[in-house]
Amino acid sequence: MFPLGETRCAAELVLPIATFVLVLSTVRAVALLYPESRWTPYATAAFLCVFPAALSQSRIYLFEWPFAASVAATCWAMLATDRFTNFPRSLVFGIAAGITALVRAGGPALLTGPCLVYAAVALREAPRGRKALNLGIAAAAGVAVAATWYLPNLTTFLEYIHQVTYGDQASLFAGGSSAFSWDNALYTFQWYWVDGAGIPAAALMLAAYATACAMERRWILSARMGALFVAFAIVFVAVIAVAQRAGGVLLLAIMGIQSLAVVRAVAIVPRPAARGGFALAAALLAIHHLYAMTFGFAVGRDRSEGTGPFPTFPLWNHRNLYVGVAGPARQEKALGEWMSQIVDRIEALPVAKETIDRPVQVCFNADNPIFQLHTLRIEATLRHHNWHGIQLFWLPLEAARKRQAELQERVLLMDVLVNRTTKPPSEYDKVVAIITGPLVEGASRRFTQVGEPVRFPNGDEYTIYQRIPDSSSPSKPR
Amino acid sequence: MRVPNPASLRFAVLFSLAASAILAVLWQSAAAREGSRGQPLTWDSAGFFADALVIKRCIEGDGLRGFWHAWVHVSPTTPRSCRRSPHS
Repeated sequence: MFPLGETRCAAELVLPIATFVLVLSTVRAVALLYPESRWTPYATAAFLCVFPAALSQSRIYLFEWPFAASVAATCWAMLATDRFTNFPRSLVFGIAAGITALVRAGGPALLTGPCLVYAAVALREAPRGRKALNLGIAAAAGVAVAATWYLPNLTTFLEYIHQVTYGDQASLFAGGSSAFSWDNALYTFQWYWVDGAGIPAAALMLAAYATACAMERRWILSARMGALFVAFAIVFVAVIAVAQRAGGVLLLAIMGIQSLAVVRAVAIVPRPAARGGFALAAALLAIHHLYAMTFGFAVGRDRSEGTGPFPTFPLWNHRNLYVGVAGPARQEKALGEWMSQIVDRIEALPVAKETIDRPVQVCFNADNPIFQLHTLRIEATLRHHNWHGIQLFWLPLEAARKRQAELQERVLLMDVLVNRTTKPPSEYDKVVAIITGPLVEGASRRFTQVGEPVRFPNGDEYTIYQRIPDSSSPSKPR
Repeated sequence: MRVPNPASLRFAVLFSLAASAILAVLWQSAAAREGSRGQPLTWDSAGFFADALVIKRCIEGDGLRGFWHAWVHVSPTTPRSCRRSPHS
């Protein structure tokens, strides 16, 4: 962003860079696992890149895609340590693991499986002492790098994880009162495939494997693939324990294992004609994903559906992530300009005079994908303001009533309050009304309305309030 | 012209560059079709962009110290909506 300016394009440049890192790391990591197979690394990387989850995430400015690239690079670094006999490379691996842990909160969960399995394999053979020492130094380096963020933010991070997986928000984000459940395990495994290679590719993999076994007249059991499955199982359990329901995307970083499993199932078919047929079918499935996600139709399902394996089992998910997130708002013109009006109004408020040490505190409550807290922060930061924002989070109404006093305390720290209202009110609007209503209405109100609400083209109204300076009686609205 | 060996790093780099370029072109084509190019960033995407801007401001304003502060307090790994105000 420094050389290219404060533009969205400069920020989004991270996506193709991540694609490059992911593809290169996958190729090199698989080449270290299967040195005897010349094309397995390339087929694995290419197949992985056209998974619906990969295509979605590589086109939207989120951390999942850079995180997947970072995990792949760490796995490459780990496999390059030659079972932890090479000290400099072990150190590089440790630092890479630390950086990966920082790319995404909870990132270490995705590294547990590959690291534990590889360490177990490495330590089975001599020289165990040297390997253990290198591994220990690598782990210490990783922890030191990761600690720069995790230590100061540990309480907040754990609070958040608990809240969305076992706390008040679990029913909204984890599909029940506890994330660690059989239902969630089924859901996540199903979507690992639906958002990944797709169910037809899974069937193709099984058919190719069965064909190979039949032709060879024996069960083909690969120690390397077995180790990868164990690594996947460990990660799967770790993710289930701390994850929200977000389709298969949380496992995107280890979808390389899925891609490799399909590629190897085809590669071990002994007869060239049969192998060619399976390879062609896999290639067609890959092209079909690429076409559907780029030029085709934005089909797909709501991720809250299809939690059981049958009968609502989708074959693949070609849902366009942006269309799904932005919804009808994407059809409207020049929406960005409207946020400027709100920033203009806040700028003019007497309470909005920030200093270097004290940012202006803004609570912006709206569940519109485009007109929300972060869009306001972008506009304010581009205008060189030092504003700090929060947004009340999504809660069931009952939980909002229960936590009213606690959340009101947080709102009372704000200088400015912006509430969105829709007609009819959304569930989120009701949560905001429960918490902020008593603060903006009535004799004991603590915020006063500023001017008329800003009306947006979609009919939504954004009402701005400013904090009443500490006094015994509230001032009247202007 | 000699074709590089598929087992070589050079071949892997060329393959990765080609794959990245093709996927980037297809991404831009899809973005034009779906309308995302013409609208501001949504939800968390907007949050990450805002955080990137704030981190850049911190570095510009206070150098390495600013970067460290931003790294610890602005880094968006946790959704901001759940973060407490620094004055709380």
